[in-house]
Amino acid sequence: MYSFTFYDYIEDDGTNAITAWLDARGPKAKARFNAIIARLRATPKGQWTRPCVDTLDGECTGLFEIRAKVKGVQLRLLGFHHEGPDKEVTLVFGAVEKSNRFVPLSTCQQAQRRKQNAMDAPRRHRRLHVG
Amino acid sequence: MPPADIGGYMLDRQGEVFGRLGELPECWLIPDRKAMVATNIENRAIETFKSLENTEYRREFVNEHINVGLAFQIRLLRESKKWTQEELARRTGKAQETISEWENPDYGRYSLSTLKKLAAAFDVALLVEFVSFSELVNRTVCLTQERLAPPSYDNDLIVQGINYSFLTATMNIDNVTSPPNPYNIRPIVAFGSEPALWSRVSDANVLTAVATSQPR
Repeated sequence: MYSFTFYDYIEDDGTNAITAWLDARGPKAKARFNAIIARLRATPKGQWTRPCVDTLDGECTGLFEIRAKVKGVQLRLLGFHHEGPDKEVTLVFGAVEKSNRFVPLSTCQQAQRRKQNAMDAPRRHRRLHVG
Repeated sequence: MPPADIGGYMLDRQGEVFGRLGELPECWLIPDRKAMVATNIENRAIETFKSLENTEYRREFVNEHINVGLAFQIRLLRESKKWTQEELARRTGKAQETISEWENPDYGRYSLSTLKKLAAAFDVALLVEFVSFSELVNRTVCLTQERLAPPSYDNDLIVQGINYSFLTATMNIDNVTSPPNPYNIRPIVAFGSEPALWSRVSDANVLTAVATSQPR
């Protein structure tokens, strides 16, 4: 039985970075990502593959992306799996992919910083993902 | 036999049966995580329902659960049978590229004819129905691997010859639920499996389940 728990990254000021990004992308994008996440919760990690998910490398090593093309724009939601038996996932950063590059260009660095924060202080930097 | 193996159902506000608890063991039935996980699910269900107050999001919520849901199911059902896209293409009389499109949430143009053809190829049932938003939310927050890739006819419980000849059970569901919530999402545990007759007795907290199916 696979049942992943998804969390959103929370900024120092208490802002939910993932909800804010999804809200800014519009209802269709938000609904698309939430529909994918609902299914990933029940899908074995080994089947988190394209077209909806991909593992990242290079500067983004240790992260994966949830992929969605909405109104011609390639949207990416970056996250990571926590170690341990609890099957926890934290979504840390939202970006656009254009010509095989993330926009903003600092996506990987920012996502890695947030990953570290979420691992160091999960109670402060995570909140259950809803939707 | 543990409750997760013998099935169960959730009730809506009116006590109507609308979801199988038997498919939700991690939601409710793992003792050490039960309270935490149940609370998480309640929170998600309630917050998701609140988000549907926005009409535009509500429309897209329905659209995307169809588009993404079908794409996921087609791929997971195919992989559960260890079929390649070419194999599914052969069985449905389509090109491999078409299967690849069907497995992508961007596609979103499935016809009923296509869905019936796929159901036949996978030998699973197909439900196309209008439902309330509360039912959609509840199905969404407690999706399971079995629901995403349901067993084909030959692997269905009934066909496996399990003896459901005449079993009845009642239990007070207050003992196995998390604290009350506005939508009254309540699990019950019962014996049997479909096709089964379910009837409410004196109040919403006690159900009697009578399984009437016979082994083949």
